[in-house]
Order: sequence, then C-alpha cells, then structure tokens
Amino acid sequence: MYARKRLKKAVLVVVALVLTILNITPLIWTFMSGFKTRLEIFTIPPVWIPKSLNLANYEAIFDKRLHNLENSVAITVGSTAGVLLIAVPAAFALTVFAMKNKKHLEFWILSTRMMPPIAAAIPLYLGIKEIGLYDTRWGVMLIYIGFNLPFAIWMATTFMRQLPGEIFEAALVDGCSWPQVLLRIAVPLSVGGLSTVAIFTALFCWNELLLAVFLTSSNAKTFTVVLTEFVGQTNIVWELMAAGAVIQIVPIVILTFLTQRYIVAGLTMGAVKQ
Amino acid sequence: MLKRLISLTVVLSCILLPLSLAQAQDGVDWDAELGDWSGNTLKILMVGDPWVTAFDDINPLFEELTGANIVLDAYGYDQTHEKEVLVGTSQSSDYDVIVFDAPWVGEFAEGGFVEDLTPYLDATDPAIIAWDDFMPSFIDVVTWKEQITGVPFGPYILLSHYRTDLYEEAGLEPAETIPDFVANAQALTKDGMYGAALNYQRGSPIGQAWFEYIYAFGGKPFESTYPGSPDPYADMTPLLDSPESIAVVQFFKDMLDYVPIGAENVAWDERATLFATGQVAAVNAWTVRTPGFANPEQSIVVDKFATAMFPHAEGAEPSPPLGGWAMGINKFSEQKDMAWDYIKWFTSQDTLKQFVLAGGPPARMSHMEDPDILAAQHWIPTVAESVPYTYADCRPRIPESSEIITTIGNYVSQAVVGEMSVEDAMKAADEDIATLLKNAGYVVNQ
Amino acid sequence: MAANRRIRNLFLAPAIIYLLFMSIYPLIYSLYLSTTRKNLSRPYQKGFIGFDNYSNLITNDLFRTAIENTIVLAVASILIELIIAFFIARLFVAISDVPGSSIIRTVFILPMMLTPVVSGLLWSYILSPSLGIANHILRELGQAPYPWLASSDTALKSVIMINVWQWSPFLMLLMLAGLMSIPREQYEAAAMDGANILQVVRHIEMPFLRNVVLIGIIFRVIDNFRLFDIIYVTTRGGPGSATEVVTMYAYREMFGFFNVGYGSAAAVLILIMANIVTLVLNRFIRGEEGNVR
Repeated sequence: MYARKRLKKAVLVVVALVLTILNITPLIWTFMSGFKTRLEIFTIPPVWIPKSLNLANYEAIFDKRLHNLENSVAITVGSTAGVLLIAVPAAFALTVFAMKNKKHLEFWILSTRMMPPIAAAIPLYLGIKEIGLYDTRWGVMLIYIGFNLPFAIWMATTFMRQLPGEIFEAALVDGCSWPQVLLRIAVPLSVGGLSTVAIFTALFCWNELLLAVFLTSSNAKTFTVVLTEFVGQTNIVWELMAAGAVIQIVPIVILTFLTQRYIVAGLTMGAVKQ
Repeated sequence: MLKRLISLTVVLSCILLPLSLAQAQDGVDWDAELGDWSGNTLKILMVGDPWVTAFDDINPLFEELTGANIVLDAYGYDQTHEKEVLVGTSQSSDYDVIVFDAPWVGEFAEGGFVEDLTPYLDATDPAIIAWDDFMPSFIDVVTWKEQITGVPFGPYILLSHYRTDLYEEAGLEPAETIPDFVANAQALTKDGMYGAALNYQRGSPIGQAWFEYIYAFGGKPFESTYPGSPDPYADMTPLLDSPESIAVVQFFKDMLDYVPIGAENVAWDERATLFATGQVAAVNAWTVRTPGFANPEQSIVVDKFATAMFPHAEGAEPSPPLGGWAMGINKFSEQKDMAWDYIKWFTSQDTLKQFVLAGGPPARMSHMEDPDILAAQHWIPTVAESVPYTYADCRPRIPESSEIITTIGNYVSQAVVGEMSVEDAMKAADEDIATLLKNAGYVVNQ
Repeated sequence: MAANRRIRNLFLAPAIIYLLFMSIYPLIYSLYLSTTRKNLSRPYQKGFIGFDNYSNLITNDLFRTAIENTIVLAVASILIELIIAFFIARLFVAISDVPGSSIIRTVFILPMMLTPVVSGLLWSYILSPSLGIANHILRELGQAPYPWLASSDTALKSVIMINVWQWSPFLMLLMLAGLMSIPREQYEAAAMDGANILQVVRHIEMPFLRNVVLIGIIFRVIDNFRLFDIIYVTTRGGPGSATEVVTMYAYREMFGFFNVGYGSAAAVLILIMANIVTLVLNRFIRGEEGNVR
C-alpha cells in the first residue's frame, strides 16, 4: 500500500516535471536563438543548439540599446517608489479610520483599475504633451503611478487589515502621532505585504507597452518598445529579438525565484480574501 | 575577437578607401563646406529598412568631419509614420532629420512637419547638390506645391526578381505581363517550390500592394490619378470597385495557390526572405531588397537570380511602381543648419555612391552609369530601364494617403482571406474612401 | 476626532486627487473630443459633429468584428485556462509534500510573469510558417505544416493559444491556494464515506474554489478586454479582420490615422463596455459572497 502510494507520487512528480519543461520550452528555444548568427536563424531545418556561444547579438543590444534599458530600470524603480509613497498612507487611512461610504470609496478606487489604458490614451497623451513631459521619464512615471495606484491601495489595505488594531491604539496611547504609527508600526509590520505591492507594481512597469508606445519617442523610450522594433514589417531580426527577449526576462526570472513566496501570497491574499 | 577585428578592418577599408579616392577626384572640400558641430548631437528618425546598417558605416565619416554625434532611431513602416506625425504634431525638437516615404509628402508639407528646403538648396553650391542628377520622377515626389520637402536618397522601384536556374530548367521567360506572371507562378509551383511571394499582411502592406498592381492591370486609383495627368488630385473620385481594381484583388486571391503557407501574414521582409531562402521562384520586390538577395550572408540564391521590369498590362506601357525615401528637416528642430549639412553631405554624389555600394538603392542618374556600381550590382540596368516609366503619384501623396492606403489594405485583406466577397469588399472600401475624401474637401463625384 | 479626520484626509487626498485626475479628466476630455472630427495630423479638419462618430462606429462592421473577436478571445481563453489550471493545480497539490516541488511550481508559473510583448514575439518566431520550429516539428512528425498566425482560419486560435500559455499559471496559482486551504480532514471524511473523485471535486473542492475562481475570472476578463501587446507584435489584427480586437481598432484610429475624434468615441464605448462587464461581474461576486456568508 505504502509502496504503491510512493510509486504513484513518483509518477506524478515526473508528470509535473515533464509538463513544466514543456511549458517553458518556448523560453529555452528563445534563449538558444539569442546565440545564433543570422545564417543559423535562416537555416532550414532550424538548429536547436547554435554552433558557438556567439555573443554578438548581446553586444549589439548593449551597445546601442543600453539607454533604453536604463530608461526601463529608472521608470520601474521610480514608479514603484511613487506608488508606495501614495498608496501606503491611503491604505492605512482606509484601514484605521472610520468613514461614511467607505465601501463605495474602496469600490470606486478599485473600479478605476478596470479602465483599459486605451480608453484614456488620447487625453493622457495630449495632457502629458501639454505639461511638457512628453518623451520624458517623469511623464511615463506619472502615468504608470496612476495606473498602479488602485490595485496597490487595494492590496495594501488587505494586508494592513490583518494587523491587530490594538497595536495602533496602544501606540497612540504611548504618545505616537498617526504618521508615526504609520511609519514605525504599520509599515514595518506589513513589510511582507508591501513587498508584494512593490513587486506587482514593478512588474507592471517593466512589462508595459501600450502607454510607453505613445508617451515616448526617443529619450524615454523603454526596452519593451525597442523589442517590438526587432520584428517590424520591413525588417525582421529574429536573433536580436531573441537576445533582447532574454535580457528583458532575466530580471523577471530572478525576481520570480527570489520572491516566489510573496507572489503566491500577493495573489492569494491580495486577490482572495480567505 | 581577432577575427572580428580583422573583419572590421576589412569592412572599414572597403568603405573608406573608395571614399577617399572619390573625394580626391571630385574634390569637394568638406572641411570648408561643413560647419564645426563638435559637442552637438544630430538625431535622425527613419524607417528600419535593410540599408539602415549602411548608415552605421557611413555616419562615422560625418562625425569625423564635423565632430557631431549622430543618433539614429529606426522603426517599422507603420511605426515610423506614427512617430513622425507625433513629432510634428507635438512640435518636438527631438529629431533634426526626418526620413519619410513618398505617400507622406503631402501630409508632412501641409501639416508643417518639415522645413521647405528651397532656401537651403539655393544657398548651397549647385555642384554639391547636383539636383538635376536625381531621378526626375522622385524630384516630383519630394516637391509639394512649390515646396521642396526633402532630398531624395533612397527611391525604390519595384522589380521582378526571378530564379534563373528554375526558369531555365522550366524553359520560362521572365513575365512581361500579369497573365505571364500568373502562368509562370503556376508552372513553377511544384515539389515544395512555390511560384511567387506577395505582400498579403493586412493594412499598409497589402494596401500598398494594391497600389503596386492597379496600374499593371490597366486601372487607376482615382479619377485623375494616372501617369501624364495634369493634376492628379483634381478629381478624387475613388475607383476601387472598378473592374480593374476587382481584378487586382482577384489576382491576389488566385495567387494564394502559388505562394508558401502562411502567406496571409507576409509583409515586405518575409516577402523578400522567402525569395532569399530559396522557397519561391520569383518575387516582385522593391530595389531595397535586391542587394540582400546578392549578399551571401542573407541569401542562398546569390548567383541564381536575375531581374526584369515589373510586369505591365497587355498592350499598355509599363508602369513600375515608385516609392522610397527622402530626407527632410524637422520644422521644429533647433539645429537646422547642422541637419542641412548632414543632408547635403549624405546626398552628395560621393557619399551617396558609398551608400549605394553598401546596399542603398540608387537615387542619382549618374550612379546608374557608374562603373563601380554597375560592376557590383547587376540589377542596375533594370532600374535604369524602369526609371523613365515611373510615376510620382502612383500612390497618392495627399495628407490622407496613409489612412487611405491602410483602409484599402484592410478591405483587400478581408476579401483575400474570404471574409467578404471581392466585390463587396471593394465596394465598401470605395464608399469609405469616398466619405473620407469628401470630408477632407476633395472633389468626389458619385 | 477632528484631528483624526484631518489626518485621514491628508493620507487619502493624494491618492484620491491622483485617481480623479486619471479617470475623470480623460473621460471628460474624451467625451468632448468624441463629438468632433479632430485629426492630429490634419489640423485644418475640425468641427462639432454631435454623435456622428458614435453612429458611424456602431454601424462599422470592423468595429463590430472587433467586439466579437474580443468576446470570443476572452471566453475561449478563460474557459481553456480554467480547465488546464484546475488539473495542474491538483497535480501540484498532490505532490506538494515532495521536496523541491515548489521549485518546479515556480518554473511552471514563469510564463505569467513574462512581459506580454516577449511572449508575443517569441511565439511569432516559433510559429513562423517558414522559419519556425513549430512547423518543423510538425513536418518531422509527418504532419502538414500549419499556418498558425498567418491565416484567417487559424490566427485567432493561435492568439488564444498564446494567451492560454501565458495565463493558465495565474488561475492555477489561485486554484492551488484554494485547494491548499481545504482541511485534510474533509478529504479523509470523504474517503471514509466512500466518495468517488467526482463527488470529492463537487462537494469539497468546488465550494473552496468558487470565490478564488470568480475573482480570477474578473481579472482575466479585464485583462482580455485590454489585450493589446500580443496582437500588436503578432498580427496587428489580421489576416483580414481575424484577430481585430477593440484595443487594436481604437489604437489604429488614434495613433495610426490620428483620428482623435473618432478614436475617442471608440474609447468612450470601450469604457462603457468595460464598466458594464465589471459591474455585472461585481454584482455576481457580491451576490455569491452574500450566499456564502
């Protein structure tokens, strides 16, 4: 009986392993293609493993596209910081203060997240242009922060609600002001939850395309926009696309492994009230 | 590393050597002619066509001459148009040199996106500009109501490319007319080989293709838009549901039998790649692609292809499609003098010759007789043969052109994939375009 | 108390002002633009035209196709994702006590973390009819090559496939969390009662999964409604109108043709549709919550 159970489990592990490898085969294929030369890309039948560890594609990208990578990093970091700065106090207020129509306010905040970016595209483009922030990192950050606030506030509120309210009261009795309660107690205690908020905001900013396409042209162009240019109507450079894709996803893969606990927690606690 | 260094040296000397020779011959004193732009950055916005790599080799020469630093941003076809209009409408000074396609000329001139170059041309030594040496029909392209919107540097002509080995084996001659073209494609589609490759991708790729073929079917897009017309935009009544137009779309549909699988998403790059990788026996492609077919790094048909003039309607004059690129100055650039220095340097006879040798299409008539170029590029005579028949307005150059071409392309694509009948699709396209043109204030009689 | 209120407002104000600006200003501006014929690249073309843009949109076949495609895409993707997610989640639950299984799980969910542009690009390379590895494998297996993204019959299916590949892990994670929260005893009790697998799924697992799944569905509906990146890099809405979706349609009008008047009308309609969908789903969930509690 026991042996059979073990065997069954072993089979399941193998199945899971096979499915997982199949699931990421496209990533492996892309990784391999990043090392190919132009001729290897055009070889029919396609070659799985390139003849040599050709780094020319990576060199070409770092040579010419470093600026765009820097933009992506700066915009991601800046937007994430901005989101936390605005969302955390708001979430704290929604957690600790009584309020009329709180449910409605919360729902309204969340509903702004439902807005498809395309629905606001023209006004945002014209507005950003008007205040002179078109094609600047600040302009992109300004908009990214706005698009991330609803979800961030919602998630941060969920996490803060799990803190015992008595701690706040005790701190107030001890003479802490509300901002002190927020900074010294609420934030440190919910640091895990806030990390989740930060991770999801950063992911959004790092991955975003549509807004970046029309908010930037040259100076603030992000790396996601650059990636779309490798596969144009007039010129398709698969080998650069593959290398670029690898550069784009390496930080994500690292982040996923480092923070997998938070990702699962974020999705389950942020999105699911258990 | 060593290997790379050697190849770099070879490449550089290939480019530098002829240039220094040419300079010695023509003796333009660029040091005196060009300003000192040390510390300035010149920004160029252009399409990412295959010759974009030639700029990487040629631009350093300008940087060396003037001290300027050149930044070049290249995009796909539609994206280039979108970006350039955004630069113009947002009055951005981010770019100095704007590279634009023939159909966008009217839009950029009327919208005030590009500088009128007439005063710049007048102030420059005519020997350097050699304006009359440019392809005459492309001079027409860049001229919009007395205004010079840009200097030609990359006019494209559509050529027939065919596999000499396969044609010989099958005893075929390159197609002179469309029926020949179809018959050849049919005859060569066998044993895993396909007869041709065409642009089928929805939007501008197939929309442009419709304009490429409409004259070859004896038709015209609008009432007054035809070679020799006194004013191509006098009567803009669209003729999209004319028998000729229907025939073009039906031809696209019929040709689906002779093109490789996945045709419906093919745009310029795949169209050429299919030929370069030996999967199709013929392709009608812009001259910008031809150097790639002859480049062993990108092609396996290097010694196996030849060119011929684009097929035409039976009993009619040939009308090879004309397209391609000119360089203009962004109206809102803050460095217009540097931009002009760059343009006049790049389009000068010597620099442009290096560009052609590095894979650019010839813009100057003298280059089509240049022994170096003729020796390196066996298709140049076909280009020269086509030039007299080219027509500047074969695709309209009015401000609405881009929308017209894309809209037509969407309908043609729907007809080709069978979502609508050819007649219904072209009727709907005709109505849409008529409304668009009427709203824009053109003469439309229906 | 008054001090508290001031602090509360101080904490909330930046967020609320920000969100007002992000939602109300675009709405009003779009409403205004949508009644004009404004075109960015043709500044001479302007004028108030009332609701013409809206009536043109509603009667436009391509816009209607875009709506249909968006719905098909959302429904098909989510259904398939749910089925795949359920089985994979059960698989991971079954091996959750095996050391190292969390690493396998993390690798499995990688696609959902991926930049959507990248997933679009890498699939368009894999599915390229002539150069792609997918057709090469099919040929090796003795099958006819498949046109994938490049035929009007198969393009939408291919986009759905990419979508499912990327987002099944998301629903899988949610379901995993739901399944893991089921107390062991319930399974044991069921086993004692001799319940079969279907009964276990229906009477024990479903109740725990319902809420997670509903919230997951809301997220996925919203995501599909704004789907842009994958289409933008693979098909741009073609061939024909096979993969035309509302975002692509509006994008082309706004930034391809610069018809900001007409494009804004499309934006307003998209916004209205998104709100209706959200309201319906939300009502549904709130109703469900009411039943559960």
